[in-house]
Amino acid sequence: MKREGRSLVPEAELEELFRPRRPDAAAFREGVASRIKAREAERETEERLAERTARPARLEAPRESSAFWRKVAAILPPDLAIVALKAGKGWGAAALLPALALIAVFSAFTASLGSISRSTRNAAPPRSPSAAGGDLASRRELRLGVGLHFALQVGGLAVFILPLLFGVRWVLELILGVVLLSMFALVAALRGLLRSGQLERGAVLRLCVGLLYTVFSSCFLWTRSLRLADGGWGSGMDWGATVVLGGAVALLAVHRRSAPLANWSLAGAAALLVFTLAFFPPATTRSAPEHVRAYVEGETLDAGSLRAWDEVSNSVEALAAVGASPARLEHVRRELARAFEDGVDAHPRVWTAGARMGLVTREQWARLAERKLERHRLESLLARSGPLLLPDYNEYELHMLLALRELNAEEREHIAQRVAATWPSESTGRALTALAQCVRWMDLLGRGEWVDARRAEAQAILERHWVARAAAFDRAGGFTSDPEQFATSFADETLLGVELMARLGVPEGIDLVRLRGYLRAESAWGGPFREGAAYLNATERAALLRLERQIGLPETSVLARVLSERVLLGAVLLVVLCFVAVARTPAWRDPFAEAGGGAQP
Amino acid sequence: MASRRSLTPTEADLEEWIAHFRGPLVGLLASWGRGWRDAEELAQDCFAEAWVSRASFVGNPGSLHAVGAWLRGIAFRLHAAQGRREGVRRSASLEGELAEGELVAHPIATEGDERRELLARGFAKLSEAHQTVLRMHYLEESSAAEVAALLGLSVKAVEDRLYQARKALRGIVEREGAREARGVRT
Repeated sequence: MKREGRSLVPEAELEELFRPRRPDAAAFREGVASRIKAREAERETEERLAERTARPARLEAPRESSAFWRKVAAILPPDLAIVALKAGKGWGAAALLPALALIAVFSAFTASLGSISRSTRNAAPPRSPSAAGGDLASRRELRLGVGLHFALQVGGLAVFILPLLFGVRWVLELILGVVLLSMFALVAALRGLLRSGQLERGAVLRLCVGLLYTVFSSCFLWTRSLRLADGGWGSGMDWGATVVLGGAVALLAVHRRSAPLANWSLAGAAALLVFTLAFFPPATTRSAPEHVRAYVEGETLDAGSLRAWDEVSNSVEALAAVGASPARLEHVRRELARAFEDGVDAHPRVWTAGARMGLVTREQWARLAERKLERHRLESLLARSGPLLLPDYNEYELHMLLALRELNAEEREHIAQRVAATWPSESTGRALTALAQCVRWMDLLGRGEWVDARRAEAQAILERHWVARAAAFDRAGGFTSDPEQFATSFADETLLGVELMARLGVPEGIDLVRLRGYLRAESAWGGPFREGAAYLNATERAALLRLERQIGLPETSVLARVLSERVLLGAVLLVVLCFVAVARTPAWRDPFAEAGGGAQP
Repeated sequence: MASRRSLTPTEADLEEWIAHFRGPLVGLLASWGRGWRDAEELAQDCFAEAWVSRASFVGNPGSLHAVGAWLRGIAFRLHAAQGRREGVRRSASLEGELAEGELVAHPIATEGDERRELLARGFAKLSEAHQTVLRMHYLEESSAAEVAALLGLSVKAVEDRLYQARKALRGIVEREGAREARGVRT
C-alpha cells in the first residue's frame, strides 16, 4: 500500500469503523473448540449407530392391496404372504412369479434327491455297458428322459428367442424353468437307466456333464454375451454361469476314472471355464474408493485429446462426494499446466474437467482469458441475455469468470437469470443434461436455494428419464438421455441422475436397488484382457460409488435378496443334484477282470 | 506461515489458521449476505469443519494460499447449506420474509458520531467488491496476503482493490459531507 495520500480515507478511521464488529478472539476460539467437540461427538454417535443398524429403508406411502391378493396372502407362509400382498401394488408381478419359480426349483430339487436316492439304493449290479443297449428305447422312463432333453433344448432356445420378441423382463424365470426341466430330465434318465440295467457311474457322469453343458450354453452363454437378461435384480447370472460350468469341470475332475475319454472332456471343459472366466468374470465391480483412486492415479491424460478427461473428473468428484481420501493428481495438474503454458488448443471439456477437479489456478485462468476467443466468451456471458445455450462442457466459462472477477450482485443476478431461462421442462429435449447443468451453475453462483425451490420439477424430470423396463439388447435401471427416443440406459445420464438425486432427493418412482443392479452389471471387472480400457467403465463406477456411499440404498429383506439371486440358487441346486447322482451311482466293474479270468481247474 | 512440506494439520496449524483468517473469513461471510453475528458463527463452523475433515486436506497446512482456498471452499459450502436450510424455513414459515436490511452486514454507526455515520453511509454505497475487501481487511487489520488467499486473488490485486475502495469511499464521503453542509440529505 504505497499509494497512501490525501485522496484516501485514513486507515485509522476504517479500523475504527469496523472495531465494534470485531470478533472477540478468546470467545471465537472457544466457539470453534465447542463446535469441534460437538462434531466429534456427533461423528462417534453416527459411527456407533452405523455399526448397529443398516441404512433406514425409504418410507413408502401405504397403498391398499386388492381383495384377491389379500386372500392369497391368507393361505401362504408369512414371507410369501408379503410378496402376495405386494402383488396388488405393482411389485407383485415382479416378485410373485420369481418366488413361485424359486419354490418350484426347490421342490423339484427335493423330489429329485429322493428319487435319486431310491433309484441308486435299488440299483441292481450293472451289466456291461454294451450288453443291453438294444432294449433301452423301449423303456418308458428313458423315452420320457429323451422327451425332457428335447424340451430342455427347446427351453434353451426360448431363453434366446423370447427376449427378442417380448422383452427381457422374464428371462430369469425362463432360465429357472430350464433348470427345473433339467432336474426332471436327470431323474427320468436315471430311472430309465436303472430299469434297463445300465445305471453305472460313467453313464451318469456323461449324462450330468452333458446336462450342465446344455444349461450353460442355452441359458448363460448367449444371455450373458448379448445382455439378454435383465441384470437389474442381482449378480446371479454371472455367478450362475460360473457355478454351472465349474460344476461340470469339478464332476469330471473328481470322477475322471469312471468314464472313457473323461480326461479329454475334462481338458475341454477346463479350457471353456478359463475362457469364460477370462472374458466374463463373475461380477466384481471395481467401484470401491481404492479402485476408483487407483484408476485416477493410473490414467494417462493428454490435453490434446478428449480421452478420459470426463471419466477422471467424474471419478475425482465421486471420491470427494463420498468423503474418501482424494487421489494424487500431480500428473493431471502437470498436464493442465503444460496445456495452459504451451497454449494448447484443448477442447472445452478439458478445461471444464480441470475446473471441476479444482486444479486450475487463477493465473492459469488469466492466461487462458488472454486468448481472443476466451475473452469473447467471458464478455458474452455478461453482455448477452436470454437462455444460456451452452453445451455442458463449457461450464469452465463460469469457473473462469468467478476466478477472474469479483462479480457484483447485479452481474450475478444477470447470469442467474440466464441460467433460470435455461431450466428445462419435462418435454425439453435432453432435459436431464440441461437440468444438471442448471443445478451446477446455480450452485456455483450461490443460488442453491433457487434450485431447492424447484425440487419437485427436477424430481419429475428425473423420474421421467429413469428406464424402468427395456427390450432385448437395451439396459433397464439407469437413466436415458431422451425417453421418447431411447428406452435404454446411458452411462453419462445415469451419473447425472445419481448426482442430481444426491443433491435433490430420490423420487418415489425410482427403484435404487434396480439402479444399482444396472450399475453393478456395467461396472463389472472386465477380466485381464478387457480391463486395460478401464476408462470405458469409469463413469458407471463413479456413479455406483456415489449411489452406494453418498445416497445409500433402502434396506432389503432376506426374501428380496434370496429372490434377486434365484438364478444362482437354481444353478447351485442343479450342480449339487448332479454330484449326488454321480456319487451315489455304483461304478461298473468288469466281472471277468475282477474274477481274474475265471475259476481254474 | 512459512512454507512447509505437505503434512497432516496439527493443532498448532489450527491456531495459526484462526489467527490469520478469522477476520477475513468473517468479513467474507458477511459479504455473502450474512449478518455479523451470523457470519462470526459460520466462521467458527468453518474452522471446526476444517479441523474435523483435516484428513482430506491435501495441501501444505503452512501455505496461506492452500489453506485460504480450502477454507473458502468450506465456507461456501456451509454458507450454501445454511442458505438452503433458511430458504426451507422461510418458505415454510407463514411469517414470511425478512426485511432486506437484516441480511446485509454493514458497519454500525454510533449515535452522535457524525463522521462514523457518514462513513457508514458511504460504505453502503460502495460496490460489493470494494465493500468485501474493506470488510475483510479492516475488521481485524488483516494483511493483504491473507485477504488475497481467501479471495483467490493476487496480493497486488487486493492492494489495488483496497486502494480503489478507500479512494471511492473518500469521494462518496466528501460529496455526502458537502450535500449535508448544504442541508440536503439523501
